[in-house]
Amino acid sequence: MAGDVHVHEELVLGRAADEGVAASLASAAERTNAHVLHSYGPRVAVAQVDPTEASVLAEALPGDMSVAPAQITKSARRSLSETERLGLAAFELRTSGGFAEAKANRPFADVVWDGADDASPPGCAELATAPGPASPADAPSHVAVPLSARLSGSVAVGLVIVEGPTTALQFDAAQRAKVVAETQNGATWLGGRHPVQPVTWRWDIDVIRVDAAPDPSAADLEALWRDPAMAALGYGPGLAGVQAYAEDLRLQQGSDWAYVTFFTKYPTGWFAYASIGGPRLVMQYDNDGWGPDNIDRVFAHETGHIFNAPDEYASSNCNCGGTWGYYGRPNANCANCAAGGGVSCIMRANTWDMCPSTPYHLGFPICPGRLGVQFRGNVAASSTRRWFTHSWPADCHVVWSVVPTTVRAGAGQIRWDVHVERASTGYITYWISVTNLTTVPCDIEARYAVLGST
Amino acid sequence: MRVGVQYRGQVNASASERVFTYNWPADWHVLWYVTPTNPRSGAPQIDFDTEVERATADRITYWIMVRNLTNQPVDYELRYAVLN
Repeated sequence: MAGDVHVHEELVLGRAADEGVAASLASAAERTNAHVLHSYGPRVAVAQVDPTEASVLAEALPGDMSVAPAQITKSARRSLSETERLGLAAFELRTSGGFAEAKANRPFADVVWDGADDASPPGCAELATAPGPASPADAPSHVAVPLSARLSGSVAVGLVIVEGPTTALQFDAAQRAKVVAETQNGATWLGGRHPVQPVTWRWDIDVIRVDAAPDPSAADLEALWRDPAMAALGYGPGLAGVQAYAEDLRLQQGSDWAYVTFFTKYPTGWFAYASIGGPRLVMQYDNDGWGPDNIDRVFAHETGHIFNAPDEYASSNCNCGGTWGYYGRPNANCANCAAGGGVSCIMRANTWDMCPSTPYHLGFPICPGRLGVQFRGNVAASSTRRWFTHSWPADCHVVWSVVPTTVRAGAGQIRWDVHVERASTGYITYWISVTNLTTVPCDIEARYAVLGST
Repeated sequence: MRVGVQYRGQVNASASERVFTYNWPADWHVLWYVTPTNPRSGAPQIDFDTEVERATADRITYWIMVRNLTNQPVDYELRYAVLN
């Protein structure tokens, strides 16, 4: 088990650095009920797989790919790209005893984001909270297609570690691996909340050293190091450059969505912040008083902002209204107004919990296909009885059927009819009338099939 | 499987309306259902029934009867699911 997110993950390593490897892995995973959670270049991937099915996945892969390799040779490691090498190092770190121990002893575990004495809350999500006024270059030149409308399918992440000219502004090898391991852990958890299929994260990692001297009094603390870093990647200044990079990443990785994550030791206005709807997220390595061992949860929280989820802790000044995220739902778990201060949630506290509101904000499909029995009852001889069942999400396609559970062969026993009430904008009540066609009582069960959503 | 909305309409107070939709491949397994779209809490608003016409050897027409159970007009959407 890697990390503390209760997902069985296996490392998949390929030898040939061509695009066919990713396709082969995806195909094999589909045939073996596995799923690719992370890809770090063409040769390194992390797959979710049932522990008993790992050998089946291995057999389904081409001969030049291996699952959970017992040994990785020095020459194989040397042949990897920086992204692949860091992805591999991150997975090895996540499966270590030290990582498990660190997770078991997280600072401020389960504490609300504004409830730790020695740590400030992560910066609010709005761009307006980013340090300094936005310059003209910060206006994205175009927003043709949203980069992060909903957390579903595949997400390309440009992970940029920005170093400076002094030792204090640089990351050693262990810290770089830690950043990648923590973001991998947080992404596995967050993407694993998807009710139908976990999200696939496609990483592109760069470590960039810029010459800028740190200047805590700079008018735009972020631009000081971000713009030179983006220039090193070949992009222009401001958020327009970041947006252009994210759009290119989406194309290159063939992903549904994309955003850019910066890690730095340069002074920033907040130790972690993101812009609602993307395109960028910024984190300090020391992670304020929360510490590097909580980077995973802060990263998951900030990625929630990228995918349009609002803050829920009290000092964010949230309220229970608004139209947030893919479905335009209110912020019903806001600590300032939800009953009892709300329930445990990644957008509210340092926890691996998610409240009922956040899946709507993230745009998870809320009608995953499923079958069930909603109620059982009895209908008297030669009579009709009506039931209702309420609070079905209006965009779910639901069909109903009724079957007798009393055995009586030879003729039809029941007939049913469904009437529909739009109880509110978002919810439907179904009224189900069941007629007993026989001269004896009949037990029934009402079954539903949720077919999906429009 | 896929789901969708084929048609949106309005049925007058205490009235019925029949709509048809044609050219559905006969080998598709299709279910039809109707949902009101204007909220009115407290009682059912809509009843519906489906009748089926085999228009050609390989095409089906579905006739959906929508009944407004209330004394006010009801907006509705005709939804379908293709199960195969």
